[in-house]
Amino acid sequence: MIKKYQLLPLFAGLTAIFCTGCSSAEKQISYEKQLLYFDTIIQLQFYANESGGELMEYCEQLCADYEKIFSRTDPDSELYKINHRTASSVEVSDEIADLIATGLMYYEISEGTFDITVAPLSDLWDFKSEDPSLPSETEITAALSHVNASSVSLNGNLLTFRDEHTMLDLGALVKGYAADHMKEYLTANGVTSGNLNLGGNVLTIGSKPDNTPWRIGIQMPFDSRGTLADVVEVSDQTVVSSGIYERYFEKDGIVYHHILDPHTGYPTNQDVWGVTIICDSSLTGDALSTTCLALGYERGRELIESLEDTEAIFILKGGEIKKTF
Amino acid sequence: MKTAEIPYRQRRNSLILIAVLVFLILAGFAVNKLFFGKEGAKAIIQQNGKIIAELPLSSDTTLETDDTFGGTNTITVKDGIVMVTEANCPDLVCVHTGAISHTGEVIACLPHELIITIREPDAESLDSTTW
Repeated sequence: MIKKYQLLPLFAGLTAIFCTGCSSAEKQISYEKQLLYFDTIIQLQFYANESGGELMEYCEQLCADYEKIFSRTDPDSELYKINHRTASSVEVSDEIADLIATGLMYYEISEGTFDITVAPLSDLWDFKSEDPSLPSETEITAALSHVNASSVSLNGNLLTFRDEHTMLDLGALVKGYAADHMKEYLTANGVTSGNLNLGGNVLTIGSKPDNTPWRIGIQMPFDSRGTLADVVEVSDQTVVSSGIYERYFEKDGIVYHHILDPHTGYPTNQDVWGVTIICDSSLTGDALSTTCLALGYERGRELIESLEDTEAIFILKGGEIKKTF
Repeated sequence: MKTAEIPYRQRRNSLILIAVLVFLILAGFAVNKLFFGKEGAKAIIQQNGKIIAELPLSSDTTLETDDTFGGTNTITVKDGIVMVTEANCPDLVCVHTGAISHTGEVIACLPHELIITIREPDAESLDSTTW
């Protein structure tokens, strides 16, 4: 019987091999950082050689730079200056011009539902307050008169407003735009594996170092954090969600959420709780997820099916999940 | 009806064999845990860009954080999950986020520059979450 005990070293030895086998031969180092920008959390992770620290610094600087351009509240930001302009035409930076062009394109695609000039209206709706109240009908009508993306025109870098009170909000697009630019920079500098999460906008670079796809969880709307509606596996693609559950309040049994319909001035009354887009560009994902949320399930699905290399997961009111793939 | 008698010696030997196998398995686990450092899930607490604490989710604890401008958060680890139970920030998003326990989940308190993430050794877990 004693002989059996002699197996112990062998058993321990095998365990040792299992535990160390995975940590060898990987020259690439994992770089990780969490940052707070764009009013949300940015989680960056990628594999690189010793230069990874510098690459990470660049990404952080890019967030800081974009915040300086796109913040609606910082009086020094470029967007703030555009919104508080003194002339009807303003020369804007390439970054602002890029996002306005994208915004205007999706204004057309969504038949006016995705509107980057919705700012005066969204300012009326205070979704952060402890004791929120409904804006009055008169306030909404007054704000709506300045909401109209078709009154904004872009010619090269020259931005012209027809209405002096119109204000821009590019917040729905800036995370995707920043993610795409970080990825472009990282891949140009030799990074082949990574995952960038900008406030829920996930953009992956390649696959994981062991060549398996990245596993991305999709949050279940209105459920506790970490309760998943689904898990998708992607390589080198983006997974972007938009939902009415991000910011909302309840008053007299009615849920008022932050996706506002520029036609009515009230939150879009649709059959969809949340939309997740899977495609190549995070900026496109941002624009499509918000557009689909505003369009609703039927029209949103039609739009996604008309596009190549683009898939969507719709979480309908009540929690039913519909996929285009 | 007659059942075949199993000789006493044979039964005893079987029992010893089972006992030895159980012992080997337990010993294997113990050796694995003691010498090869298979760590459990941890909550990584960052404030103002620095890691200020790493709390194993296996032991219940509370941590009071202060952002040096009077912004406080109470972080509680209980039964394998971590949450912010109290805070003096205006929006209380950190408290309302609720509990987290898996890689890819995050709690953030933007006004106090506090970020809580989970590090799990489990390879089957998620890499990220979209919301």
